[in-house]
Amino acid sequence: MKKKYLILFLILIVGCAAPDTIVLNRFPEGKTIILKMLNGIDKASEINQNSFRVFPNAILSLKFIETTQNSIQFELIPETEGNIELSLYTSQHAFPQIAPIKLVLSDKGYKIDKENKTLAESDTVKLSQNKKHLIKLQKDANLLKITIDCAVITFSYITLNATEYMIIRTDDKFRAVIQGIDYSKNY
Amino acid sequence: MKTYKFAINLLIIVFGIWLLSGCASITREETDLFTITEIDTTFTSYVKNSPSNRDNGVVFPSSREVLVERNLTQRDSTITRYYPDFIRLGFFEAIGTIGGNSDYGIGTGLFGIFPMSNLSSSYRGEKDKIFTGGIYRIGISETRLRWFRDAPNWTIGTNAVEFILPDSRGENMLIGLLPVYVRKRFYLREEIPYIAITPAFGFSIAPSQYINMSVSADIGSVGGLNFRAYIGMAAGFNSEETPQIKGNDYTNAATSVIFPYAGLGISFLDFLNLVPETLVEWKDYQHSSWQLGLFELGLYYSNADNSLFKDTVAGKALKGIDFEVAKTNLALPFWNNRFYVGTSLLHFMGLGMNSWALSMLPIRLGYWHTLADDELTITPYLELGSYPSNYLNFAAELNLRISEHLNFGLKGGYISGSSDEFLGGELVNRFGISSTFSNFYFGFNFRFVNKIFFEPDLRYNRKDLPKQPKEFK
Repeated sequence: MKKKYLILFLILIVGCAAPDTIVLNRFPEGKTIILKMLNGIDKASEINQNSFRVFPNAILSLKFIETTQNSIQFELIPETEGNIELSLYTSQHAFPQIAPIKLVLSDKGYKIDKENKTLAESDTVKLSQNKKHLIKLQKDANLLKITIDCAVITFSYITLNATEYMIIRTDDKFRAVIQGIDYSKNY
Repeated sequence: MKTYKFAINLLIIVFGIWLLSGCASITREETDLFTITEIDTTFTSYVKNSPSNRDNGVVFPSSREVLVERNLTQRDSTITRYYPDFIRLGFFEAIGTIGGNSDYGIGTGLFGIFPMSNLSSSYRGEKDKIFTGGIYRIGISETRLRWFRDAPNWTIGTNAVEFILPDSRGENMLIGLLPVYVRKRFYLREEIPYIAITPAFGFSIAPSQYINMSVSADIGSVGGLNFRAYIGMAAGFNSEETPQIKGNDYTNAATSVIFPYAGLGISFLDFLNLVPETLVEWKDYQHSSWQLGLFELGLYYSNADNSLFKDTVAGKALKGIDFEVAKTNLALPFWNNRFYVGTSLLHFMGLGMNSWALSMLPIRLGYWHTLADDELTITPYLELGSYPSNYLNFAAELNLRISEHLNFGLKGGYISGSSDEFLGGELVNRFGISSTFSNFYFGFNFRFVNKIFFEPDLRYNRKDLPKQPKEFK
């Protein structure tokens, strides 16, 4: 009889699970990332504990729990052409009303916007299909360092409230694997 | 018997765990951490002049010293936001149905809440009733169902209890404890009040086993009020162990029921959200009412000849009572939005022996005024009760908000009315025949699970709120 209750309980727990959420980096503790699909449950799929695939027209929020001053690092492998936007200094609640720092990566180059003003852009550093690109985002007080492969772009005086979130948004063509995602606190 | 008991136990366990596991929560919390960084540079200048003249020559060092200090301040803050976490949450829904056996018509009246006869447990119905049966649901909840690749507006939900009455014969009544319903809404209008076509499929395991399929045209919710037109079919089985058969004077045998129906329904304190509304914080929730209340009870002095209570000093001072169930006062969006129209599921006013009235769905028209923000309001109003009693009630209420869901009020007024003969039975035995009466009254009342809204809460005063809430696009 006890087994039945246990099964019921498990069914219920499964029933209560949120299908729009993927928990990445469950281990080690303290490095957990909550991925939430904001506009549909088919916009991302989990590959393994630190990798996922992002699909076209996706809006995903990644919550780096209780770290606002951090270094986020991952590898981006585009599977199609198109562009991907990575927004920092925002939360899913405020997105996209508050225009944050936005890094736009595409097969044509990159662009970094702050509050809808372009801070930097280039057509030499760009994404190539099925190739691994290292992306690193370091937030340290008012300093922001963005690394795309070997290019390092540094900004000081960001003057925005640092948040736990990174919002990923893809256009109607872009599909990619984001793998080896990891982050560490800056202090 | 074993299966029946097991089913009941199962439901209790499932419901208990469901409650404990937080699925039944109506509020979702979101907590975010953010860091504010401030960089501040301080320049401090010191000039130390020597007490006497100095022969410095042409080029000389200044005695001025500048100290530059750079400070970096970081402040971590958390913010917690609260969101509604349900698609539908309701107290009571009633549907007056046609489609049952017309020889045994109950006569539930329009919306199933205007009984046309003096109902009792032995009542076996009458011919020539339009609404031969009814469907009643208490404690309604629905949450988002995310299937078919997140197809929009699917919900899964349940009711604490559901009664499906094809006609007056108790053995044909289907009772469902926590029946499961899956619904899909096709919205024709996505602004309050919503208009939707809703196909639904539901089933119950106990005490009756049945399925119920329906399509409804829904208007609402506004202030928790909804109107629905249904067509559907329920089919089920009542075993010998069900309370309908066990306690039945007319049969001991299990019954099968097939009940095609059409009906008109109303629901009270029944709130419907679109999915985007669940992404809007409670503080920005769209409220259409000045007041919503589950239950209120008052004690009054009146000029009736005899008290409803014993003829003691207290009985003479407090001669009557009133109680009201599922009250809504909807703000009218003109003239400062202070006029309102309201109704209740039921309002009973007993101001003394032979001076009482009872009305389903009375209509109220009033004016709402705030005397002290967040606390004290006053409202004069006119209330018209039409069935089963007729009455006209001029009244004024002073409302003091004690807590979020408890209010205290002073109420006084003048009521004039009469009650129909057929009500008879218990009410007449207890309170005497009330053919016609007119009374002044004054007293106090307590309102439980009663929410008073203030000017900044009303959606008509919130020009900052979008008509259609945010969606991630």
